[in-house]
Amino acid sequence: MRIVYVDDSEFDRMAFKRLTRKFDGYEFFIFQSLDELNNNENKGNSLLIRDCYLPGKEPDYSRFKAVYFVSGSKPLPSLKSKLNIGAEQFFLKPLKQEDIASMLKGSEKSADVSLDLSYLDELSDGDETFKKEMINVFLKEVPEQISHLEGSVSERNYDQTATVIHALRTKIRTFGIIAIDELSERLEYTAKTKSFDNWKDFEKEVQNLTSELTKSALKLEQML
Amino acid sequence: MKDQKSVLLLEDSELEIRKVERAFNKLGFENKLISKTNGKEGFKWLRENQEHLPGIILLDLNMPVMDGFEFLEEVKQDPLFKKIPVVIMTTSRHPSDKLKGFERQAAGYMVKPVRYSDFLEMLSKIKHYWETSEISY
Repeated sequence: MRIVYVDDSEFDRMAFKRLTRKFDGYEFFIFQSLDELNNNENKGNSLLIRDCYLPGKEPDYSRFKAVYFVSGSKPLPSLKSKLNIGAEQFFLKPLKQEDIASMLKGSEKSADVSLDLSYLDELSDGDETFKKEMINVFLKEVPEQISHLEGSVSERNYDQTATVIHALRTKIRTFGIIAIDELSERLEYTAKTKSFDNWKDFEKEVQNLTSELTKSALKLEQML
Repeated sequence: MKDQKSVLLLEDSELEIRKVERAFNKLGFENKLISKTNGKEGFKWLRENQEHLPGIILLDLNMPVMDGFEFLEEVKQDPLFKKIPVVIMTTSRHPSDKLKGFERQAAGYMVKPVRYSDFLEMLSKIKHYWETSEISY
């Protein structure tokens, strides 16, 4: 697999090079700008790791198997939303070897996510433009809803948590994200009735939910 | 549908709105579909269109600003709008929500199905119900 790293800091590029020298079986490509990245042919099946704050034209993310964002501080909500950065897609600098290992593992998982698109196919009835429009709505709304859900859970706003999960369930069903269909229904009910056995477990299950949604978004993005 | 009156859809999910629009086209509904994303907007539209009230309101429960139940309560208390049949369309299967809906005089309660063909069937049933029901004003 190719791993592409983009960073305008020479120091961080050197650190990345040093950090990844023990990763055998991977091809590493390091660029200093998005323009340089865009000018290079992507052979597919690549993992992209990029700094959050880079000038230039955003790349076509559908060209990559998985995308991760790095920065010395957490990205501002506006940037997070603009770049569609999911909860599991961000890593703080300085990167560690386990971060790279986690990205590699995550990219494998993202390839494994199972979507049953029969509903969408039936709905589209062969109309690919409509199908893409629906995927774009998913890609626009789901990252915002995930961010909203994370905020509601951290504030322990149970009613809001139930409301956001409820809104996500429509998408889960439309895009056949079977793995979390039952989970989402259970989490919504738990939040709505405030019947938490263990809050930590609930938080963990919400993380599983958002993680599956993020993976599904990556997979759908690749279909555009 | 009856007298070609419009259909007011109250739904905040763009995905769901597109789904209903597509289903309307597929089923050959000639009624104009008006969509608003929350109860407050829906109410505002009703007030501004008193001469052309919709024949039916399709109502999602989970909406911001004014949710489905609040909207339903207000509509049924308003002498101008109380006769418009309101059908709840929701993913909630909980009996308490269904009861709450009927207590607030909903004309129907439809659980959004998992399959699209079932969704089309559901809308066809609403259409048939509307065309044959005496509750239309």
